[in-house]
Amino acid sequence: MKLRLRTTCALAFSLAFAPAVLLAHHGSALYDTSKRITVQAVVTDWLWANPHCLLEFDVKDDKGNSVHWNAEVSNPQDMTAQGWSRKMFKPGDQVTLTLIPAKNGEPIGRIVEVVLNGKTYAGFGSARPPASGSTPPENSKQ
Amino acid sequence: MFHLTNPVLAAIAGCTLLFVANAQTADRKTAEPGSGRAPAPVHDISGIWQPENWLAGIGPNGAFNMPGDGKHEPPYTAYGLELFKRNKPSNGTTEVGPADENDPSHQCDPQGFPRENLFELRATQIIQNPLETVILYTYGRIFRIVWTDGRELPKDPDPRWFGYSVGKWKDDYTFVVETNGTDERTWLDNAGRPHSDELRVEEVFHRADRDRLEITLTIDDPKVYSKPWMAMNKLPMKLMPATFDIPEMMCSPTELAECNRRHAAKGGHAPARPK
Repeated sequence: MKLRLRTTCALAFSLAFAPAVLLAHHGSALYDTSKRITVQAVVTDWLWANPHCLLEFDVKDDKGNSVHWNAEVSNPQDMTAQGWSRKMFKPGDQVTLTLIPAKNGEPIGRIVEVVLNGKTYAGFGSARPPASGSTPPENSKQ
Repeated sequence: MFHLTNPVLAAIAGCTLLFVANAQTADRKTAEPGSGRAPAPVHDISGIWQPENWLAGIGPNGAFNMPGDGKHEPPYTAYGLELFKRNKPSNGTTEVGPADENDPSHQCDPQGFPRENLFELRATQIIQNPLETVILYTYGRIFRIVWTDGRELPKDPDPRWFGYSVGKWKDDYTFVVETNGTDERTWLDNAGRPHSDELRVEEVFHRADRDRLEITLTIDDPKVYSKPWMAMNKLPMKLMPATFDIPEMMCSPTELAECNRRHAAKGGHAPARPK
């Protein structure tokens, strides 16, 4: 319980003070930004694309039924800077997702954070300088 | 035999340093004492520049100095306000849901100018030659030509997404660009601020020192705004290494359609179709 409270507080703090810029291309009108939900999920697909990368996954509801979801993060350039990659998920991966849910209750959301293989990756709302591009490939050095 | 003594060597070295220093100050801006900053070269804004605060160039809620946050609003004319109400942005004070927005850039239309500066301004390369200054943007891999061959702006131009630009050096370290002829279909920023065919944009590139470029951008459109307003005020850009490999960031219609297909089906983003 303490851990959950700490996590919630940390998330609330980071969301309150993080720049909103990673919410760039589309506004937040679709989402209930006052809410966070955490789900255990099984990945079914990972779309690495502009303007937003999308994770598709299945979640068991309270009755044990499988519900298919998808949730977005920012564009590949920003997510690369966050340590994400095109090949980071594969179907069948078990993940823990913290999401900003949609207002209309549909199973879609924005990923605030994902835990994959014991490692936590920040989603929307985190700022870090881009790693990509800062180091050119060896063969491009002059 | 003539021997160079230590005092003589010191004198020669001192004079050499003085000469070099004088030569440099003749064509370089003197950095502020104690700033630790290298001086700027004269009439030179070339290089790869990135916002000092990496994400400061994104502008999600509108122009950096006029964000759509309920506290800032440009001085609309009656006609301007009417145009603004027609735009349905997905960001800013008048944001609407994905199914109702009509942001042309969300159909992968070019952002146009000046929105290219006011939304998703990321690593930007500037190349100069005596006739032109070329600006290469990350977002959309767009380029602009700023003519420096002495020509005037066109009097009655056919509109273009990125308009027509001419530039002049105001002083050794300040390059001023004027732009007109931009396409009325484009928005100024992410908050849906409109413009007319009378839009004229002034960009000021001030090289504060070798590693810092400040960009100021002013909107002047008498049809839409009752007075000029500043959209960007000395946004600091830092000089990146010459080997910096600018990442790719494109609006791809097929990728956009795929995102929309997967998300729109559940009430997410609007389908990729004209509104």
